Formats: sequence, structure tokens, C-alpha cells
Amino acid sequence: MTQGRCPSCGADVEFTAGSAQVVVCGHCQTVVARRGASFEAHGKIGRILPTDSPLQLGLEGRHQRTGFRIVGHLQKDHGAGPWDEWYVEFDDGRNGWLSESEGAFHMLFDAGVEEHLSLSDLHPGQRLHLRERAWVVEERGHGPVLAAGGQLPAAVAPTQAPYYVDATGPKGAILTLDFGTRDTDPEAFVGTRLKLEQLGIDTGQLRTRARRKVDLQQARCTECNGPLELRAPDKSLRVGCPFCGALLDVSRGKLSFLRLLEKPDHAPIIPLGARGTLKDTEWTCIGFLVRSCTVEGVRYPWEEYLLYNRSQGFTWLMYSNGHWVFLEPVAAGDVSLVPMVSAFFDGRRYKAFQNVHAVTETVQGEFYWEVSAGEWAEATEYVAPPYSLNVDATDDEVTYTHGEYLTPEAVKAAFQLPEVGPPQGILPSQPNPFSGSVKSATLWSLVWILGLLLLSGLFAASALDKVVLERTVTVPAESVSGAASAMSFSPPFELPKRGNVKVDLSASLNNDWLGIQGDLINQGTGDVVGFYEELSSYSGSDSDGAWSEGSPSASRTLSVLPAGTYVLRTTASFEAGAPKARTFNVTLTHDPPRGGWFCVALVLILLGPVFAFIRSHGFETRRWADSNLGGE
Amino acid sequence: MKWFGGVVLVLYALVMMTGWAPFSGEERDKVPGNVRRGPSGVLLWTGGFQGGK
Repeated sequence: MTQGRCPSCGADVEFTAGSAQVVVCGHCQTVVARRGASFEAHGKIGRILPTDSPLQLGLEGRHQRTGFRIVGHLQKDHGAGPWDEWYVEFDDGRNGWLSESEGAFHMLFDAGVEEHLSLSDLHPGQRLHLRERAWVVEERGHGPVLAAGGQLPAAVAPTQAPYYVDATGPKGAILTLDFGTRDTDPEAFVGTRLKLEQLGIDTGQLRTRARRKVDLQQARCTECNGPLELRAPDKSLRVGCPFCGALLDVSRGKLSFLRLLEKPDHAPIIPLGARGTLKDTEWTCIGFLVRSCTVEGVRYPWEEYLLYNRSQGFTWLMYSNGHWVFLEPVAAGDVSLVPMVSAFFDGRRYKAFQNVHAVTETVQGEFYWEVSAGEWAEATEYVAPPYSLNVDATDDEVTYTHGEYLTPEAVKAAFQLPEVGPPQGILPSQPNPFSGSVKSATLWSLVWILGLLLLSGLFAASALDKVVLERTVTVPAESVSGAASAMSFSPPFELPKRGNVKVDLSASLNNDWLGIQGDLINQGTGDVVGFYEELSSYSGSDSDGAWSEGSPSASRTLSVLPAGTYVLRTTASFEAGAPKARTFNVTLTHDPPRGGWFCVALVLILLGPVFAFIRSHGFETRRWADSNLGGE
Repeated sequence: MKWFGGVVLVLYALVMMTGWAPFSGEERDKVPGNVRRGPSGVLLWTGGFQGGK
């Protein structure tokens, strides 16, 4: 510990942190540096502005089992309101920086200079590999140190506006590149994203929230004097007046008029101030945006509702044509991306669906960034229904949000909304209502096919499949076609049981035809089952080459015949002409296996999944017809 | 829809057990009572449809 007096005002100043090189005098805000045993004044710095940060100088906490103490405080501003950074000293002699952003904390440690890295090479959304890790640049900005307090490792220069680049890696890793006023060789700070409860700080030590919110909770519009109920006054930077459309700035703790905006042509579906429970959290709707994109000359608008919960922070509900999507911010470093092709996040692959130039048209309610009408972003959507991954990129920043499709009924129930019209069209991340039926139909088809195989196996095994008659019939040359002279009777044969009979006929023909009338005559009952087949074979050649037609063989299955003794009578029909003998072969098979019906049953069973697939595929085709990134 | 496969299976079993052959193109007839039998007891019936186109 080193004690002394401020060279400017003489007040007591004290160095307790071994790594601190300067201390800010609590009386006159002089930056006091120690040079050996003496102190030097290094100009003045602004006094810390009250914010809603729960931290304060002197707090003690634990990180990765090592205690730390907050010894210094910086406030910076890159034009969107101040943020706090705390200089901490660990019990093991290390020191680091604890920065805050929208309710999240980042514990960062100096990792040395990253040589040969240029600011102009780093852009939001860009992926880089540093310190053996993959990172994604989320933000690039610059802004001076406005205020300081406590002990710091180096002097601060409020007149300078240093450049910085923030990037995220997987699993909460954070990288900040501090370029200072240079544009190369930044100082790298690597750390982890943490929640307040992970800092190991006794809640009794935490600072109570600033009274800023009390002044703004019941404010009035500076243009129309309409009452403005701010529901997140300690976080809001902009407010859109719902009465006159004025856009007001609240970043400095009081309302100031910025510009008059066009009011939305309809009231928000979720009224500002409405509360609803989604994902086991009670949210308050505090902001309403209308954004749009124009594709091939057609404007496509949608609405975004900003939801706020004191402990969870901010999230979004997007509304488009009756569809709702719940959007939550995610770290860019947790997403693997092939731009405009696919993304991989949390074990799921997302396909690129669309890329549009999104413009904010109208604004109502409160927002935690300096929103303005006309602000734009390149919005790319990747989908894995019912989920989506959205990348919004501007020149200075890229934000990633993870979306989940919600049914209109779920949102209606959560916020007690009146009836809204049914959803129109297909939202990119809308779940396919028919995909479940494809799986179900396929599964059941497999079950039935298994049953079919078992049944057909049983029938095949039990089939007699016995040749009961096989003969060659010769029709004498002098026979008359279709007459008794062309008839032939087989020897009697037995059909030992009731069953089908398969008839196979063949003949050797040369540019000729032969008709065969067959009659199976039950010798006991006199019942006759008759059939007729015509065999033919013609061939020749012409200018196109050789040709042939007809079939010299035929086969058919007769219906069930009772058991008994049968005789096959055949009667030949043929072309009248020069007499010639004709010969044909006939084979009768009793109780043959009948595979034809197996095929018919199989086709019918498969109709279910085929129909379900056609319906599901039709839905996907209609979905991807709206994609401007190549489709599936 | 899932029970449709079961219906198909039942119909398949019925068709197989009954031996139904709707496309056999066969014709049923009966030998007249006055047809004589040959030496081996075979009905020598020369009537009925004689075939042809």
C-alpha cells in the first residue's frame, strides 16, 4: 500500500493494488500517477455517472476459485450510451477487466499484443483464428473513456477515442482487441462471459439500482406531452411516443426529442406494457418495430416486439402474416457458418433460406439501442424448422438470434390476445405439419409389410404346387379348326384338394397362330371350367430391320376347383388352309403359389407413406419456393 | 390411415384362402346328363364352346 496526497488538491490518495499505476483522486478527479516514491498529476478525468450496474469499487468476488477485488472503474461511450469496465486484482497476483453489457459480464485478461493484425481487416461477421481458438467478430467500434474512478493500470486519455473489436468464441469465450489509436497490433484480452451470480459476489455487497429509473418511469413526451410509461428506464436509450410518433432519446437520463416518425398504420397486436409468460418467463412488451424488405419490387413487412424481463434481459417476438417466432440472442462464436449456405448451432444444421436488406420503418415504445427509422441491416435467415438462426449485420456490428416457431394459439394464450386472423402462407421456419405423418405412415407400413411377408410365406409354404398334367398334344393335319376332329382328351388326373390350377401353354409357331380352348371336366360332377388362349408368332423384316410380334406361349390361373378327378379337353383353332399337323404343350399345376396378389398388397400398403410423402414434400416445395438462396 | 395396411392384409388373406381369380377369363359350364363315358369312364363330351376368335 502506498499513500500520499493528490498533487492537484492535496486530498489523500492511496494505492492498494500492486499493479495499479494511477489512481483517480476522489475529490478533484485528477489522474495521479506514482513515480517511485512521488506522485504526478496526469490531467483530469470525468466523474463516474450513475448507471444501473450492480458493481462498485471495493467489491470482492471469486472467479475460478480465486478471489478478486474491484479496484478501478472506467466508463466508456461509443455513441450508444455509457458502459462500465471494472479493473480487478486477484489474490494470486493476476489482474483483469470485468466489463458489463446489457446484463452480461465479461471477465477478460490481458493476453498480450496480437502482432500483424490490422483493424481494416476485421469486419462484423468475419471469422478468425487467434490464440488457438476460432472467433467471430461481433462488433467494431470506437469511443473515448468518459469517466474513471479508483486505481487503474495505466493513465487514461479522455481526448482519445480508441478503436476496439469484440469477438465471441464457442462456449462463452470472449475476445476484445484494443487498438487504441493505432490501426494495427492491438492488445488482446481473452476471457469468458459470465452471469452476475457466477462472480461469487455476496449479494449484500451489490449496489442498489440507480434512481434514474424513478425519474423516467412516469415521463411525458416532449412533443405532445402524452404520458410515457417506461418499463425498462435503466436500459432504454430510445423511446417512440405512441401518441404523436416522436422518437425521443433517453440515453442521458432525460428525454430529448430526436425526430418525428411516421406512426404505424395499425396498433401493435401485443399492446405495449402487456405481460405474458413464454418459456417459463414473464415478459413485458416494451417495444414495437415495423421492418420490411423489398424483393423484386414487392414490399414484405413484418413486426417485431421487444420483450423485457429484469433478470433475463431482452428478447424478441417476430410476427409475420399470422405466424410468430420467439427470438433469443446467441453468441456468434457458438455458431459455425458457411455464409449463404448453412449454419451449425447447438448440434443442429440450418440451411440458408433468405438474405434480404431489412429496413426499420416505424418505431414505438422503448429500445436498448439507438434505434431510428430507416436503419438497415443485411438479414440472413437459416432454417431447421421449427428453429431458425438469424444473422443481422451492419457495418459495425453483427448479431445472431436463435428463433423458435410458436403457434398463434400459444402467443394468444400467453398475452391474452384477441382473435387474430389465421396464418397466411408458410413461414420459413414453420414446422411441416405432415412430416410426422410420413414417419408414422412409414413405420406402420413396415409393420404391415412384415405381416404381409409372414402371411405370404405361410401361403407359399402351404401351397401344393404340384404338376398334375403335362402333355404334348398333336392336332392331326386333316383336322377341322374348332371341330371335334381337333379335340383331344387327356388321361384322367387327380386334384387331391380344393385349389387353383395354373395352365401353361406353348407351341412352336412360324408366322402362324393357334387357338386353344381348354375345358377342365370334373368327372364326378360334370362341372366344366373352360378357358381360351391364342398363341401366335410372326416375324419378318422391312426397311426398319427385322420385326416380330405375338407370343408362342401363355399362362393363366384358374379360380378354385374342388378336389376330384378331372380330364382336360383341348380343342384347337387354326387358320384354314393347307392341311398340316400342329403341336402344342400343356402343363397344369395344382395349387400354385400366387405371387401376384403379394405385389398388389405391397403396392397398396405403400400407398400410405407415398401419399404422406407427397403431402409433406408438397409443403416443403411451397416453403422453399419463397427462398432466394437456392432452395433445398 | 395406419389401419389401411391391416385391411389390405385381411383382404390379401381372404383372396389367397378363397383362391379368387377375377382375371382368369374362365367360363363355367356343365356337361349335359346324356353325355356318354368312354371305356375308361371318361366323359366324352364334345359340345360346349369350341374356342376361336
